[in-house]
Amino acid sequence: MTGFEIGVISIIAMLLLIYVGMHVPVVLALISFVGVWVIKGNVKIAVSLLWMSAAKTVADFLFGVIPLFVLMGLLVSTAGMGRDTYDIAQNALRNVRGGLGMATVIANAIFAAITGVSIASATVFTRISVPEMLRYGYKGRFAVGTVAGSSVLGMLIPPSILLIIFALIAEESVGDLFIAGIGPGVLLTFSFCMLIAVMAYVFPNKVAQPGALDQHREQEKMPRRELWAKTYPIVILVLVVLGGIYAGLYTPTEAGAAGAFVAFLFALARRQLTFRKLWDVLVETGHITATLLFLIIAASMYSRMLGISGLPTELGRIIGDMDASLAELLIIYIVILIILGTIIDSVSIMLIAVPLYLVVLAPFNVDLVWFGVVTVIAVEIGLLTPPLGLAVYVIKSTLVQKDISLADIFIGAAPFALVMLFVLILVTVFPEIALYLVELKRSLR
Amino acid sequence: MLLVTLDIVLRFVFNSPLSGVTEIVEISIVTILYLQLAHTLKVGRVTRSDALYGRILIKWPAMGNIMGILFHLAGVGLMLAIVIGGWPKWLQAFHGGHFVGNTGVFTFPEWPQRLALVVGCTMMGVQFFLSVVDNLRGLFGKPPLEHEEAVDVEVAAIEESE
Amino acid sequence: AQETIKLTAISGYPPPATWIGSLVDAYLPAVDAELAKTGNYKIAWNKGISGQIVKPRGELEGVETGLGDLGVIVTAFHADKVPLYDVSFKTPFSSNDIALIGRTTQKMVDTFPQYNETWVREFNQVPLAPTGAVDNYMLWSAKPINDLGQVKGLKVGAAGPNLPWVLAIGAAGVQTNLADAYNSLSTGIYEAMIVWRQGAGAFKLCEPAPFAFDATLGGVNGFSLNVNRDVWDSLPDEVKKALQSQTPAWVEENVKRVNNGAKSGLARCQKEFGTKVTKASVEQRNAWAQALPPLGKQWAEQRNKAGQPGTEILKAWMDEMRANNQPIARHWDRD
Ligand code: NA
Ligand code: NA
Repeated sequence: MTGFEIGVISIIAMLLLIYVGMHVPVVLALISFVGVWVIKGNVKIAVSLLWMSAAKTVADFLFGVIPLFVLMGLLVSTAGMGRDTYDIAQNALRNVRGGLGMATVIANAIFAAITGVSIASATVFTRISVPEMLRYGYKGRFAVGTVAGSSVLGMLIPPSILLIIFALIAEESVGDLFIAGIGPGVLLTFSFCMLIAVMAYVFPNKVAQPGALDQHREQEKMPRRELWAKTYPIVILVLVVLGGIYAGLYTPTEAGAAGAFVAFLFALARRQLTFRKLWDVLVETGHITATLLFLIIAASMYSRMLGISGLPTELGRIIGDMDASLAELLIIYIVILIILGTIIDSVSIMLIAVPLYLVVLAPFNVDLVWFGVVTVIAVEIGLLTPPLGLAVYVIKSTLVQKDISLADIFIGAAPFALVMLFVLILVTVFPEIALYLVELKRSLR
Repeated sequence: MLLVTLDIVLRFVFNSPLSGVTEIVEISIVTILYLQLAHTLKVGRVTRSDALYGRILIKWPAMGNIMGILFHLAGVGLMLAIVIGGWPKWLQAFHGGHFVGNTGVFTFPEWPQRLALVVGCTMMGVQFFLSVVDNLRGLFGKPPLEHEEAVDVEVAAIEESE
Repeated sequence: AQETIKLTAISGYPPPATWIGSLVDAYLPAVDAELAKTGNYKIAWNKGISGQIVKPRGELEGVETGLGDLGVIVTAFHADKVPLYDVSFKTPFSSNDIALIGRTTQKMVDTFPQYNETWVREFNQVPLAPTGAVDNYMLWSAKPINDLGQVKGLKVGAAGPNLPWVLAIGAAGVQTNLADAYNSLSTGIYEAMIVWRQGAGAFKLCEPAPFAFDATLGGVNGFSLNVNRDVWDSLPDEVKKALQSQTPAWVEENVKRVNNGAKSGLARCQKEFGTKVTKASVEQRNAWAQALPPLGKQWAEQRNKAGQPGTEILKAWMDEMRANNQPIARHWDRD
């Protein structure tokens, strides 16, 4: 069998098994196991694949960020700060239709400047904003969709793991890539807000319960003193995490630990943290972390199996043999990234596709910093697309409301994925969106 | 969290960074993951799309339980495969004295995390097997074995603050 | 008739890494060309590089378990599993000649059967050839360093095996990797870093750290090209011979890329960021070398205890360096 055949058959099997209700990591592991067994004709190698992925995938300092940010998110919500954020946002945007949805997006954009991984954004805001949006009468599907969509900002607005990985592969400066992420990040934030405004006016029934959107306008303004009391802890947390990174006190990974520690202190100070509750928070952190890592390990089994099948090598040969123009090559590239994004995790896609394309693009003399931003946006669309959409799975495993299904989250996230595609096209056609600040910095040198 | 924070503080206040934090974080992630995994399955937190499966279980319990038996047997088999693959590897790490870190800076033996993987996947396999038993009991109209509800901090926090 | 053999080459690293670029661009084509001479066999390569099949550091076990048929093992990361390759890290201030370092490692492998035995018996693989990783480590910093005394109390980032080198002269060592380096240097998490010229240029580390202090710390060996043993045993002799005989293509191309990278890396740093290289005086270099613990001896004794010929390898290594008139600051085997 060729790599393509194996790829296609495995996707169909995956969709089917996930849909009928098998545990997602089990589906991925099973397909990978059978796939390697068939390709290699040797069950021992298939066993090795499972063990290698299980032992090696997450044994990395980078993954330490997951439990730390999960812990921070839970402590923040235990301290009541999540609710405060929403009261403030609701207060600020109380005269805007769909204001709470926009607040989620903007809060995510701010949080994105703290975290480098979208998984962290998704866990934190599933716990913080979904309950609040439901409380204000928003529909579940819209609430989780907004959280899923805006979580991608975490890896576009610097710091960003994906931009760092691109820098490593392309030997570009991490600093330049970070700066190039700002413009598109702001544009995407703005576009998401526009999307919410349009949805709130055109399909109000999809966004909230009938009447809920109008009722917000009648709410009273929060007293100054209360506003201040609710604002300052959040400001301090952002300062600790953000300020720490930019003042050079610690790395983004360590910021998770520092943030968790500060949130812990706030929860203590507000007398919200008993021993029993602390224990519950720790257990819950363990559950969410284990769920996510198990999924990431299984996804890694699958992408390794595809590697063994030879699919990426075949793709590379085909593209290398084509005699295409730059525009055609870019379109093919984006389409490939989006298709791979439905089934493989972001980091693996970049590692497979970017080196391949660096060779292909070499004669065209393109700005690799811009190419990096285009790559990251395209790859991030995959976080929201079925069957393997990591952001969606993260939300599902973090979600308290069990009546919201995986399908609901994928459907809710779909409009956001479309808006990302639109922004991706804009950035591809107008490189200045990414490069303006970079060139400014280069000219200052 | 405390360890990484301590590293930051030490680095800046005393200008003497802790060695081995990177390695300790790596080891703990793997160890904690595998020791948590079975419990995560037990409380129903392993990701799945159960909308259709749930409906089938209600409408056609026999068919639903047979599907469940197949799903969970796959889990048992895969865990068994990982344990078979991992058993010689932990012995190899143990007898070979393999370690993580760097000589002269910080080193820690590799075998504990390798053993944790084997133990964790064994427990996970047992948990999948218990689910098979539950489906079998369901097939004959008996109630499932005891189930533990997931503790929900968020719900508790919201309820108490109201 | 021609027989097609499917082989999967694995690595966690992408082609910009010199040891993978040279594998894909030089070694695999050379093997193909060699086999084409008779036309009896053809290899259909699956290039499972860039972490497709194994992640960085996973290559050793990937080749061991057969996930890959052939792979480049970064021996520098496996001091616990193949400690004999570590001798170059334990003998700094000896040589800047990366080709010589690679050749000497090959000589050790040929002279001491323990190298091969470890690979074959413990890790189920057959080594074809080693090659060098780094030509010359330097100390890159945000502020100029002209004197060893300035390093005292300085926060210096270094990869694990290089850490003991800076700890010995009073630096506050921070363990790090290339991925974090740019950010960490820009924000002052550390103020200097031990890195080679190609790395400094490729990752633009010379932007936040434009001053290089060159004490000729020297280079190290880093890689071994290995084949899974079961696969090796199953291959026809002609294919085995082709795989074995073409390793110089890989070794030489890698050395060339590292050396060119060093030149162009430094050129880029000088042009874009005005990098200034300060050469350490002979006295400073000797003082640094003397400040280190007897790394070579400690290593040799540990190997002896494990039943391996540590003392002999250390001596053979240093003999080779002396025979080639290398700028040795400390005779590690005579401590
Ligand atoms: Na970010
Ligand atoms: Na996807």
